Amino acid sequence: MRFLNASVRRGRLLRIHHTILHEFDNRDSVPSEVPIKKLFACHVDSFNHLTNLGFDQILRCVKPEKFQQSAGCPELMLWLEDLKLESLKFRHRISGRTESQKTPRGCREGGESYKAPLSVQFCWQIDGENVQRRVVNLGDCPVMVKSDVCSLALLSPAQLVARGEEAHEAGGYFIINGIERMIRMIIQQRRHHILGLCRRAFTKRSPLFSEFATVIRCVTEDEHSSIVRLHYMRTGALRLALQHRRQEFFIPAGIVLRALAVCSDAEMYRQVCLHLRSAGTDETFIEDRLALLQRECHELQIRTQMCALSYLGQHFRTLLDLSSDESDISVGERFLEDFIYVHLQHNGDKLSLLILMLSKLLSIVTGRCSPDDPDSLVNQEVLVPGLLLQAMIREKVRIAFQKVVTHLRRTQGSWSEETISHLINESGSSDVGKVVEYFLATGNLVSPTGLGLSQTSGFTIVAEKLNYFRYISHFRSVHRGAYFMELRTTTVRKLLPESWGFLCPVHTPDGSPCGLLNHLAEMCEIVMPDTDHVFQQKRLLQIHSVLDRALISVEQYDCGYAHVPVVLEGSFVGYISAENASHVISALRAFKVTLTTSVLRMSEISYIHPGGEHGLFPGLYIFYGPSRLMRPVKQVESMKVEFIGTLEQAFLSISAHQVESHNASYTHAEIRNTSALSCVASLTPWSDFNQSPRNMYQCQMAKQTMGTPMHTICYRSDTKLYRLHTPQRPLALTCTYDKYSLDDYALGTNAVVAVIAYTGYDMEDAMIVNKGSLHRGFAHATLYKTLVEGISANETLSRRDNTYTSENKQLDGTGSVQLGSIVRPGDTLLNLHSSDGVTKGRSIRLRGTDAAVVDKVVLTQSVKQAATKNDKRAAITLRYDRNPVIGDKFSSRHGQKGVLSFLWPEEDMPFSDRTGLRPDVIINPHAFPSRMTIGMLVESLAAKAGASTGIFADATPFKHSDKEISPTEEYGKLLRESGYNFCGSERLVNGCTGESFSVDIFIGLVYYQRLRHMVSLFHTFHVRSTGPNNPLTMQPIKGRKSGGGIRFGEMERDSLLAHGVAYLVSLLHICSDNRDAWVCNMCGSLIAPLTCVASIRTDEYSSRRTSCRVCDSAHKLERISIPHVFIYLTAELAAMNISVQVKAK
Amino acid sequence: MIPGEETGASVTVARLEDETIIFDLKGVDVSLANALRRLMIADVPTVSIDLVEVIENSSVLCDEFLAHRLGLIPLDSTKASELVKPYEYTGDDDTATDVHLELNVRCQSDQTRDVTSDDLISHDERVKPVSFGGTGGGSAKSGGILIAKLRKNQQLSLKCIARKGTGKDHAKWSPVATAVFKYTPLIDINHGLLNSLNGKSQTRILYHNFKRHNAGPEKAAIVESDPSKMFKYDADTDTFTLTSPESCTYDGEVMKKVNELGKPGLIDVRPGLDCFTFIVESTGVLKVEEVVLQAVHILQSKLDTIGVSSCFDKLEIQ
Repeated sequence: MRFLNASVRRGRLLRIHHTILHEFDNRDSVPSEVPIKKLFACHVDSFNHLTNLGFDQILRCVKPEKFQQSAGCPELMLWLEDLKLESLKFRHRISGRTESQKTPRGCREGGESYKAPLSVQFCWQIDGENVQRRVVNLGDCPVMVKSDVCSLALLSPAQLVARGEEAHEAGGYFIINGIERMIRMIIQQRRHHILGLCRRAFTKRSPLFSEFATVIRCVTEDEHSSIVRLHYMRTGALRLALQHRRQEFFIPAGIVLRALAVCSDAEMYRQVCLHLRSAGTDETFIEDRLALLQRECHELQIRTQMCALSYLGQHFRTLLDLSSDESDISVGERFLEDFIYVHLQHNGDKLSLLILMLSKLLSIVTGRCSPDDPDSLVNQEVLVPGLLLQAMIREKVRIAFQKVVTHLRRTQGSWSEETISHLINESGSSDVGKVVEYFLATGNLVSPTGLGLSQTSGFTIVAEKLNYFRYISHFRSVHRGAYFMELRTTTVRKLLPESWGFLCPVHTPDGSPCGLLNHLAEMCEIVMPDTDHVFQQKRLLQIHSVLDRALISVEQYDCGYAHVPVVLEGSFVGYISAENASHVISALRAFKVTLTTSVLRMSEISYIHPGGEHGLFPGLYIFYGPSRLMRPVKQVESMKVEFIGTLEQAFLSISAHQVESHNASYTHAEIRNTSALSCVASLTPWSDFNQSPRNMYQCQMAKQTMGTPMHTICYRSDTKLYRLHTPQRPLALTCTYDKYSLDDYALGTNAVVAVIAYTGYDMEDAMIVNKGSLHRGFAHATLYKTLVEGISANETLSRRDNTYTSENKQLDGTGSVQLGSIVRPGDTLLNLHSSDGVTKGRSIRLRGTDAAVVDKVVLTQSVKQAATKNDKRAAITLRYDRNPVIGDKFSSRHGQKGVLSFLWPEEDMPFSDRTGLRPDVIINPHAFPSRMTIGMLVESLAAKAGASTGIFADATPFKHSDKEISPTEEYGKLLRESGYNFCGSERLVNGCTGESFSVDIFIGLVYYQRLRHMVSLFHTFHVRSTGPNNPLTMQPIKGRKSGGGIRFGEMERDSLLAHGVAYLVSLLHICSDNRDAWVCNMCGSLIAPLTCVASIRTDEYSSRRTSCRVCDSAHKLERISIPHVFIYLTAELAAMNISVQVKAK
Repeated sequence: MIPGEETGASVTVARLEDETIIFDLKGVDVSLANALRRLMIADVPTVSIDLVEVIENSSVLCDEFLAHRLGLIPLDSTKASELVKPYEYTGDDDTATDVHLELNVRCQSDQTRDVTSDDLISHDERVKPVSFGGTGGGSAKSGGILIAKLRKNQQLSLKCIARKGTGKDHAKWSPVATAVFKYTPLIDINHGLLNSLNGKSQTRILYHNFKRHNAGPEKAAIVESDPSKMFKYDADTDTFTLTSPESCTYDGEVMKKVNELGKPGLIDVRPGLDCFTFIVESTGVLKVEEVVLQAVHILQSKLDTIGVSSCFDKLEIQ
């Protein structure tokens, strides 16, 4: 990146937010663990997993291929090694050229993508000779900012500031063409857990299908997922359903059962029978089902394991893409390996899992247990960005490898080093980086398999930095999936009690994404994949050491006791008696909390006890895989913090209040009262005093507030940024506020608010603002806008001539606009001179209606030497004044939004006769009764007490529910001590008359946010008669963007009529779709009269002649003024053979 | 006719400091008192920075923000009468309306340099930034108003034009921080009833928390009940006195208490209708008594234009 521009010379661009820098000057080596980073951890950590271990996992699952052209020929083995993303951290040291290095800041300003080269090694060996290697470049792959390979990874806050980044940059996003984009987390089915479904939709496949099925989602080590479903047919048969490349395959379950079992038929069915019996299924029912399973196999002449394997091999050979000389049996084995329960290696394990699925299915069919709810969080996990990318890259690498393999198979002749390396170069290199970049830029997934995901688009979003709250919540948001957006039913949107503590019940938007776009609770974490194998081994050892003594096999099973199956991350390990289970669980739980580095720390031990009224299929399920949601709670027994999962939580007894000492009625307790709330929701002060929808509104509005989006505004060229000039620390704040040091990104102003109906300008949620307060800087803000202009190779920036006109007087000698100059619409910002002499030069002018100040001009040139057409670009950042005007929107932190309706002069505002205080804002008392935002009144009171005593009130919700004293009492006392009224009311005097109000007025301090929806005075048309019209109805169009008007509808008309307005014609007719039309009084038709141009006559006045085409005469035509839409209606009716006749009198 | 015309208004100054004045205005109607308050806020002319030309600004604050801040800096307006408001002036001489000020600061050291109002250099004897007792010269310890902070090599170079105006146009021209009046309270204490009060301690049940509570002497309880602390009770001498009537907030707490004690009419607090206590605080641009006097003159001249004589004609100031 190279800066060409005048601004650098003048030092303007090097402005640094000095307060931030100052803070970190002396503590360069401070550990970078800041609480706010935890909120972004699931993004950054998952990407780190991809670069550290994920690539190895991808390669480990690509099997080496062996080739032999014919018997006796040398054998060639081909495999992959060393898939890696080059680290950008130390790159500049090696190359020694700092300017060529890509930095996040440079990419943002230059509109480029932040990428690093991705490469893989193809290795081959002929007949055990020396191994040959060839590195193949897979293109430049986007890098997550602040991940381990990012150049900012290890920098201290001071170093970050020096590089033009935020001091506490948390990363978690990618930079694609200068725009920060992130991968959204998506909810999907929990892996390795058998789900019993009862779905009407299954019966629509064919009349044979019943609505019952069990389903399990299996995930391999390299994040390849496949779903296996077991359907119950109406005949009583069972079908295994598989999906491959978006196709569905159904196999009789008996065949798969037969193919997996090593033993004889009789032995196998005895086993199955035992399992089913242990699940408590009726004896005759089991026998019937098993007989049917066997009969189906026998009808296909499948009696042995080999028969079954070769049957599967025969049918699925095409899917597997294997060489034709493989036998059917080995293809069948490969099929079992690649398609049935891919997370398990051994056929014995697969068999037990299939039997477990079978017994769960039959329990559901017989009604012994109830089906699971797929919409409940207990059966769900979250797709994290790193793992999604891993699955994507895995697929692309495999395709590249497969391509080389097929080419090698086809090649004739001997293999020499050159031919092979040439072939690898030819077919092995594919631009994986470009695929990933396209994915990130558009959110569209281009994949032949679909990666087992339910959607193909909408995966990525822009990480908007409107303000910091919005930014944070992007990284904490979890989407249910694009598929559910179109779904008519609302069941998926429902807030279920199972999601308590994991998904915030408050923080979800209104409207179409309501309930589908959720946010993680503040303390909720997503389990990341293991960082090393030793850890994995240790964990398994730990679990087995506890479990194995209690396990019994199905043969030892005794019908007298209740036994439950034990499933270890999708692998059935045996049965356990109910009494042993509780011992095992408490032992495991003790291990979970012994150390913070415990191998079981993020394991989920969910025990669904048998015979419960919940009706769920019993079992002891232990999960330790990634992507699950977990949250910390306090274990009462040890008083230590334990992480629990969603399925685990449903069967624990957790106290909602903190528990100090041992309490037998609870096993666990919440760490904080607000643990169910998300970061943004927990910032609402006293939200426990408010009506719940108001807290939801506040979560929305906090994200639309103008505030402090970042500290690096001078290094960025975002298209739009809002900045509040005088943000303040709220006088009433929650503990979350300081935990994440949100003072750095404050977004509001403490305003003196009087609740009074004054002059009528505060009706209907309008608010009056003191003009004096406004003059003194209340809610002053600036809009930063950046225009980007590409400069082609044959253009140069220059003043075209030395004449100064009114338009170009702002240009400096180089042809770009001077910094700090005020530009008005039409003024030239850039003057481009064409050097080829053919095309004319051009000048970029300011568009729009507002004047602006030039903040900075940045000229950048791409590092790439390839002469693209627009390789240089100029980014001109302009500052627009956005100080409050009438019509701007404000809101308190309690979902109370209002529009600024009038700016009363200071002397006209009511004032307190004791202190002379004049309110900044006046709101109407009617805003409270129906909305019940008591929290706002409490805030007003507490902040007033805080302002007069100098304390910041702790407004953490539910804090006061533990205490005996209510906040009104607590702060009322403080107020009284400072000489105010206990209730916060004061005697106010009318500023216009000087008379005091007969009642005392509630006045206090409330933190006000300014919302970004602003009126632009020149762009709304309240009344319009000229402008664009709808071509069909000729009525004015709607929408501000297209220059439309505001609809004056029936209700508006009625209200005017009710007020006795007699004459509405001009508003509703003439300003709308008035048309002078002809009507034929003979036939009464509106559409028959036609104006045609008589061609013979040349006389101008009579060249147009109108006549009725039906009556063929013109002498009864009348000219009337009617709405055009009526003629349209007449024409439409005529098309339906309905004639409309009009009599004009 | 304006009430109080015959009697004439009188002013008693209770306290006068550099920036604060407390006085009682007697014998006028509330409308006149309010008019005086409004004039002090909105109509007394002062001088403020109105135009800023930015020559160099390499600070982190943007030009508009700095200009707004500069506008709000109080400038000594005692000679404001020598200036003319720009829209009232028709001549060509800029010096009649404009006062030029300059701000040139560059941070040379590694320490943050505070730019304050003391760094504003006036080229005109008539108008200077208000000095708040600082030594001047722009050191961080001085009492000037902070405008911006500069890091090393950052620079501010501005030319400002100050002009005369009134608070009606922009709050920066308002000479007062607070101008407020309140009805002077009329407080009647019925001494007969007062003497009937129990001075001794007694145990009673308070209605709001139902706790046994040692209420103390009833006279002391009355003093306690008043959040504005107007009364004082000396237990040794058993004297109940009204000490600070000016702090009255008309909150009715005392009357509530008295009724609760079963002695309605013991103390009566009500606003007087023709007597007002004014508290005026100047921002420092003018002496506070000057603000009041100018406001009175403006009121008089306004009344003169509509041909009404005012009670202020015979104003007595004590």
